[in-house]
Amino acid sequence: MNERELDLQLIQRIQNGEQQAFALLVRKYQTRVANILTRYVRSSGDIPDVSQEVFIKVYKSLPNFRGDSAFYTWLFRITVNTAKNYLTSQSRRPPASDIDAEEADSYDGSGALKDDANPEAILHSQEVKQVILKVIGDLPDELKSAITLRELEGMSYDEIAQIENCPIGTVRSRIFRAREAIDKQLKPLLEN
Amino acid sequence: MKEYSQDLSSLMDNELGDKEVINTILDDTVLQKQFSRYQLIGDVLRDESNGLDLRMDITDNVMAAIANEKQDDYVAPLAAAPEKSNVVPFMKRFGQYAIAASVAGVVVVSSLMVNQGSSTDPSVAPVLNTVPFGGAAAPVSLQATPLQSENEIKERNERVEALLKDHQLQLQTQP
Amino acid sequence: MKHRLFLVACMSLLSLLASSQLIASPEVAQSEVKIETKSALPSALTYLNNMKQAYRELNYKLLYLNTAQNQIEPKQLIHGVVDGKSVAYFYFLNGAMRESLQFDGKISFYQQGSQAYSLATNRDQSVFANIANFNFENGNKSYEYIILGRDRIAGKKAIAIRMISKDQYRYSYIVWLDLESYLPLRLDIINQSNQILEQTMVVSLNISETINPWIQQLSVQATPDVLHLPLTAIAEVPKWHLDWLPPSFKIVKDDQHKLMMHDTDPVSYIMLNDGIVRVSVYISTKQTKLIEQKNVIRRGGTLIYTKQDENVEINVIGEIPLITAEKIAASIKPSK
Repeated sequence: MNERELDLQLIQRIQNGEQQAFALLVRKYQTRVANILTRYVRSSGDIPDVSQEVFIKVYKSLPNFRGDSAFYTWLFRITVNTAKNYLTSQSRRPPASDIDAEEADSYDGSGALKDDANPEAILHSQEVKQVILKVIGDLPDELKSAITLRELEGMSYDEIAQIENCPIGTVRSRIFRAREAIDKQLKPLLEN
Repeated sequence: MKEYSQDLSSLMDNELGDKEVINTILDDTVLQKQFSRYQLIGDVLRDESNGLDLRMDITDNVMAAIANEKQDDYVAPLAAAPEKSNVVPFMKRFGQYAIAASVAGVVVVSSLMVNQGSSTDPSVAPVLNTVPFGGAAAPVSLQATPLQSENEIKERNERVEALLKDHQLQLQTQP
Repeated sequence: MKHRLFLVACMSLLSLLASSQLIASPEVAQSEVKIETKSALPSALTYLNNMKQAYRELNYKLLYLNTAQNQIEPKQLIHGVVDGKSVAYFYFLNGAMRESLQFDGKISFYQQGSQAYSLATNRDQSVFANIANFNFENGNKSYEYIILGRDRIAGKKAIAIRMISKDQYRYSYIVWLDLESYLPLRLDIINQSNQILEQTMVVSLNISETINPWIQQLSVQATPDVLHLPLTAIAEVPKWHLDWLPPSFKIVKDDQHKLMMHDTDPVSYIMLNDGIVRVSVYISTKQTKLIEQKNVIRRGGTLIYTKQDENVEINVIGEIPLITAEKIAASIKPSK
């Protein structure tokens, strides 16, 4: 499975000088990075800037990524450090409930709302969530369970195939069909 | 188009190792945006997007910013986060060759074994790089001779290496 | 009188550099060692004690080269102090990532591609620690300290001090200290014929008021599990003792264990220490075939001396002259 690990495939390309591959890493992780930052960065208007700083740091130090911890764990640590630096520069103390890097994978990001949370953005994100849940609710059972096992339980196609008692190819196509259905409703919501 | 969408879906789930698919996605902004949305579905389901403006996309800004950035030649690397769940039983760990190679100084042995060919000093024996005392000739050699088979040399080298590594470990834990 | 002694010492240093088997860097070979003339200057002992304190208490980063037998290995050490406790981070700059972190009674090793682990230790294991933590007052039984003069190392004004062995059983050292911070900048291990056996040379020294934030951060990270080196209390491993110890050496470990890589071979193990040098003595029945019954392998200052008698193989490993290893090996007797 290792050679299918998307992060590693992309990192290898970047390390070979294919800078463009970094775009997919940004696309993959930008929401999670922003979500971690919400715990530290109180002004939501600063989140895009600090996120950007995180990814630039990640890019610059990628030659040192050694692959012995998961990329996300590494990214998580850089994100937290960048957030702390940001706080220092804003002369505020880091939150007392510091998150350990090891919690990175299990950390749930139900952060509190920000001081100056943008009400319109919050409404929008709630709407997005409702739409996604609605589409999933309307999906045929086998698609619903495939996308849930994948996205919420983090199972591999192989594991899902065993639970659902079907070929891996079927899992592949069910997950895709679920995403396709959701995406149809999601796409217009994200276009300005 | 449609076939790439399914590949995109498998790719983000770490279930596809196809270089061509990645090449295609990297060349196609429509597919890339689709990748972002597919990713967002999971983030939203996992509640990793609360309170965020989901229309925010920093990809282009980041890519523009790094276009002129050089990657660091050297940044102090982060020490590996130890994985708690991955404890290897003691003996198994010490059975591994790798163990003491990380102990400072053990390089002594490895280089002793590896660099024999690169020596320019003709008086240095090819098997174990040894230095005679007081500049005297006749370096001690573990070269294969009629009296000693290659296997025996190998065994001897392994023995010396084991001793040196043990020595290093003992030094590290000296009371 | 004193003046003259310095002059002689300087001359010997220069000739030493010239005769060195190492590739001495040109700046060093060409730089003139200036002669100390002022009598009010601190003594060698004062300098050495200042070094001891600086090495333990300052926040610094050293880039250095370790040279032995034409092989040069660049390394880095970052040292800092957190709440009065030293943190030392070490790593190899070339080749596979190999790094270690010592803090709070533990040293942890990380290497690319293998499981990280920790060992319990209370002794500083960093590059200059053996010299910098030496008890120089007591050490004057074994060494004489002489200021050789001034020099320039890593762009810093330095003072060179020679620690001359008072007997033939140990090597001598020359240590160069930064005159501003007193941190060690260079260390040569020298045999009786004045050859440099091994050299550690700092090429960049960085001192900061506050601890390097990165190692401070490392100090709060969880470290890998501590491994305990197991002893084997095997009845069939006979016990041994030494009839002779080199002057000022003490036995600091005496046990039976299995070699870490060959866990089938039990060995009797004795470690000797004189405050700088540690010597391991292995006694076992296991034999690998040698043409000669005695065998010497040397790498830099480190010697591996093997002696086989009948069914017993003795290995002595450490930074000592051959004569010391021979005498130790010859003095091994079975315990009753």
